[in-house]
Amino acid sequence: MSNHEHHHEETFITKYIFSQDHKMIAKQFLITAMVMGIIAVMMSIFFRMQLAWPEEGYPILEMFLGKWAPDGILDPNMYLALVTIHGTIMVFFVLTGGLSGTFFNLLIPLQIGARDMASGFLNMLSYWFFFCSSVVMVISLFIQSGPAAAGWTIYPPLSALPQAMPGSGLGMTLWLISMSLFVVSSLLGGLNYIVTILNLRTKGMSMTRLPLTMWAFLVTAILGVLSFPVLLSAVLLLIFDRGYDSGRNVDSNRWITSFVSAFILVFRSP
Amino acid sequence: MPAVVLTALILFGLKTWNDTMVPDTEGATVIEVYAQQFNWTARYAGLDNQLGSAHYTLIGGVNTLGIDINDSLSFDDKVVREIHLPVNQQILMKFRSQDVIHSAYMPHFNVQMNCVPGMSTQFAFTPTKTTKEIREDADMIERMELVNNERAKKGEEAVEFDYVLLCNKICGSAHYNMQIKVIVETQEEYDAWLSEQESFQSLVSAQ
Repeated sequence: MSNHEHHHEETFITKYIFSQDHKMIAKQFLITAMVMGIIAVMMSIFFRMQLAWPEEGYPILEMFLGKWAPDGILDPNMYLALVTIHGTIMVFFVLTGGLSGTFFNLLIPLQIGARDMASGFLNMLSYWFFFCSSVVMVISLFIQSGPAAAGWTIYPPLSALPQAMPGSGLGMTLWLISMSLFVVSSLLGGLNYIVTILNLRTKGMSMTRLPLTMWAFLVTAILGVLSFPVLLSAVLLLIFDRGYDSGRNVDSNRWITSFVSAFILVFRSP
Repeated sequence: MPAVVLTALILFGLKTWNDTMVPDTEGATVIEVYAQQFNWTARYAGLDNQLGSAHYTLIGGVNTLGIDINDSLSFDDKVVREIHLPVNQQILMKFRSQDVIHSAYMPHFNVQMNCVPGMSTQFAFTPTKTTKEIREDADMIERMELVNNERAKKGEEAVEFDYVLLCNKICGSAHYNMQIKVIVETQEEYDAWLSEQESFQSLVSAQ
């Protein structure tokens, strides 16, 4: 190796925070998804306690949920909200962010013999969109009218009409904003995975010699890139319908066809 | 190989879908179940076994389902708050929703269908045991004993088993309590009950 190899001096910020290194980004995805996973598991414990012994009061529920669990018994709206956000986090933030974000970033360059992903910058952006999406979702847990409560599939009109239930107010708007950031993150990541696998394979690594894991990742990424833009457009339209009085563009049929990508997320998980 | 398996699965699924969505319902009793936050209303087709047309813009006063008063098919329709079904008779259940998506779920008959605002959905099934018969079933007696023992501990009175139609799609705050009683009975009992119900035409004219 040449002694003249260019060497970057990494600072704490470029190495650990705004990193463009695929391994570090994989760890960032993993840690963020684990934190979200812990929140989701706590929620599932709460609502399952309520489900198992419906008439028991649990001080721990009142401690965490305050006015939403008077005398330790869940308010019906909060029960639905916990189910909704638990499902959302598990499907989007754990299955996708936690598994795809972590393992795709970690394994693709290693298994195809590339130095890094095709675009380190896009990869960094993908993580930070995911991070912002997680933050918005967590913020929605703390607002006065409570988080989204229409079930993780968020079918309109329950999600389209702010007056339909308490969770269809600001909580739903924040859910939709979080989801649009999440989709942007997934699209940036997905494009990067596809381009990396197609273009950066090492010498001799033909597509037919590609490990099956990489084939699975490639197909998964292609499915995501094909279906996510549809979901993004539906999410944005729903935000406009709710906040900008743009009419009723998103009915239940349009939403269900758009939401197919979310179901793909469930089935494609590695 | 995967393509063959998937094709077989899809063809099999398509057949099941068609059998469910377009069943052979010649002679079936037609009942409409109407969903709204947070209750169910049933409409019986009356003697002609045909439901009159309906539209949400017609909702008003006693006409809570938006039935078309000018449609002669609707004159003998009967709007009720309890579902009665004749045993061993095919039932064609049609669904509408007023506000958000609901899902009509009858766990004891193993059937479920979404009720979607703006469209009509349906399924057909045949109940084979009357409410009275199922209450005398050994398994059911055992199950209800467990339930009533628990109720007795809390000082609540004993209850009898009833079939039920539940909402199975999150539809709002009181979703958990959105249900309607279903009674399966002999044809004679059913006919007697139905004849006691007021027709839609007399309901409107009495307004």
